[in-house]
Amino acid sequence: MMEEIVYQRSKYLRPMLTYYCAGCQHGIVSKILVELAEEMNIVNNLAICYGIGCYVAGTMNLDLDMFPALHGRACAVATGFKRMRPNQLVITYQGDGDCASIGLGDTLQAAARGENFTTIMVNNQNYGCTGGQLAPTTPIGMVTNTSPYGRSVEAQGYPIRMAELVANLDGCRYAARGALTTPAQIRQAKKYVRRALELQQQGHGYTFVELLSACPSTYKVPFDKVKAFQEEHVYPVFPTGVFKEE
Amino acid sequence: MGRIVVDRSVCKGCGYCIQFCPKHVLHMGEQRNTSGYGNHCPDMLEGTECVACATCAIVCPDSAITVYR
Amino acid sequence: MGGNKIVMMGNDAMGEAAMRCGCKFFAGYPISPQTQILDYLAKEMPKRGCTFLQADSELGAINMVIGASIAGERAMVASSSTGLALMYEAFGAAADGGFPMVIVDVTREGAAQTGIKASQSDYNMLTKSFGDGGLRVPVLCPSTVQELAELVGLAFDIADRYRTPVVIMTEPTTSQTIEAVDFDKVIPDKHYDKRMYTPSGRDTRPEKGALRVEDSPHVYTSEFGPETMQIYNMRHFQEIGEKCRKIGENEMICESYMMEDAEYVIAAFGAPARYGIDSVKELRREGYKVGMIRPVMLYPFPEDVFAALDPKKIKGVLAVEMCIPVQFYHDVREFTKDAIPVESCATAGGVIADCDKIEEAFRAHFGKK
Repeated sequence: MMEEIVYQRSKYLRPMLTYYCAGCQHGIVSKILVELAEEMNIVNNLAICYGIGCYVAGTMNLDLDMFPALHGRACAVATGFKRMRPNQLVITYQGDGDCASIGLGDTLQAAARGENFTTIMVNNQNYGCTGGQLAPTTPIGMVTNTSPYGRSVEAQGYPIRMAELVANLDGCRYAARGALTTPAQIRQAKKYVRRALELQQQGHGYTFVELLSACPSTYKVPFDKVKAFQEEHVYPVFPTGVFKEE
Repeated sequence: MGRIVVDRSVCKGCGYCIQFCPKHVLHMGEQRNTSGYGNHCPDMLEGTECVACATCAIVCPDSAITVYR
Repeated sequence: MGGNKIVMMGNDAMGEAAMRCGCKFFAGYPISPQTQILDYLAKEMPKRGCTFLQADSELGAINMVIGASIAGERAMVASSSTGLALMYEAFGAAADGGFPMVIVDVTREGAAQTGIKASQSDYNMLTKSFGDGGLRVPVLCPSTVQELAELVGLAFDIADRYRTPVVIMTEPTTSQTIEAVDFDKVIPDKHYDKRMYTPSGRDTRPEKGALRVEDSPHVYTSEFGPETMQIYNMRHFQEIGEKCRKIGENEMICESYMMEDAEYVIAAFGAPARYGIDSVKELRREGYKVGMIRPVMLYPFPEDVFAALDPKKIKGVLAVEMCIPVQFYHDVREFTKDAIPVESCATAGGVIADCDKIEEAFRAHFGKK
């Protein structure tokens, strides 16, 4: 009996050791992107605008068309690009520091204008690229390099829930939050991204998908405790699901 | 009856595949990453049966796993 | 008599010239004294199938223009000094990435709090280091509304040919003046190859194609080891340096006025240079043999023109500028190599370096004792 391949790496993912730490789930986002690009047959009509974060070096293995933006400015750069090429599918690939802190204004303004592109915000609850600092999405109590005693409400305030925040804006047509740890979560996350891209194809307006990624390097937990850590600290703050679809 | 092949040049040994394999087919093997990363890579346990569900490949952040049936 | 001349304010003329030479995208943010550009383009661009966008900030505006430029279209952004400071973050990236675009700076004085008085105090900011990274891009400075319109066309042309941002620096003294403009003299879009940089080199826009990764700055591939990457980056910066040198060599614009028999030189740019011509005439009536050099391109600086001044013939140079502490003065001194006495005529606080100021300074420094 002939052996058949059930699952293999997409040809749009270069076979290279990525720059991500072991256990980092950014790689799963890359995988979702290339698989969707292939499945939706949009490889030749997709442009990804990436901000600054772990993924700058990490996305090097994506064999998709990408262009860079400064820290936080992906939504502004994508706005100019999409306005000039309305028929091209545009994704901004941003982290939580990029999208929700330094680029919060750019993100919300693009959402409010109803720019017809999709933002994928990979939320790993910290600034991983610089070694693990407090992010606007760090849950209360979580220890990072700049909240060494745990995030406290008195000192650093509360985390921002981006998907809910963006969903409040009239220009936003789709806002969802997925997670990337269990196989079921990954399948669901892929559906969210697919839905966002479909809505973009139909010209509906701004679509936003937040993906909760594990950062074992900052969690400082062994890989097999990542799921338990997220269940205890992350999911209570960041519920998954679709917050807006119209 | 299935089988997996781990691309040891990209695997970083996080073990998510081992953790989420519904049939507990995988364990951390003896062989190491070939790109100088130094970690051990997962391998199939003898005497177990892989059902080629591809769960391991889906949760692999480094897309290191190819699944055959 | 005037042919196709239209009477227009300088700010409007810049907008009109941009559209006539194929600018498809404009993003800006209201700031005096450049806001008329926004007002004009907001009305006109939609009529001509172009995109006008009022951005959420200057920083947003420049990044949107970077996006439009990456998409391969002609794009322009305008602001005033304080707004340029906000955009500064993106300048380094724009110069580094080689994104063709035109950036208009209608200058105003000094730091944010000092008001909106006419000034040339952005000279150093624009010519010495365009954003972080110390890269440099061409800076053009007109003296009349006609020149303002023509330089918009030229700026787009240089931007496309050399793949670089180009800055037009103008004082409100020029850009808010209303004059007759002949737009037939604006260089039209010659449709240079403006392909998008993509890592894959995949043809995302079938009619134009895309550049391969090896042509693209700051896109790394798996084949690159750390050493290769360093060499690659160094080559990239050498190429940018070479680009500036070539622009200086091939695109230089610097006007000389009554320099044939001159013993004294008034060096001025922008609005003061307009007064400078009258001052040359007046001072010649008083018996001084004065000429004028007017750099239109401020970076690359017309080094050769100043280096060629003969110390045996020229007794002194008066560097005129509307900013204190002086900035332009130091460039003039550098390139006359201290062989000729260089004196300064500088004004600030919104005082225009007009004929009176220039002549007064000239007599004080070079007058018959």
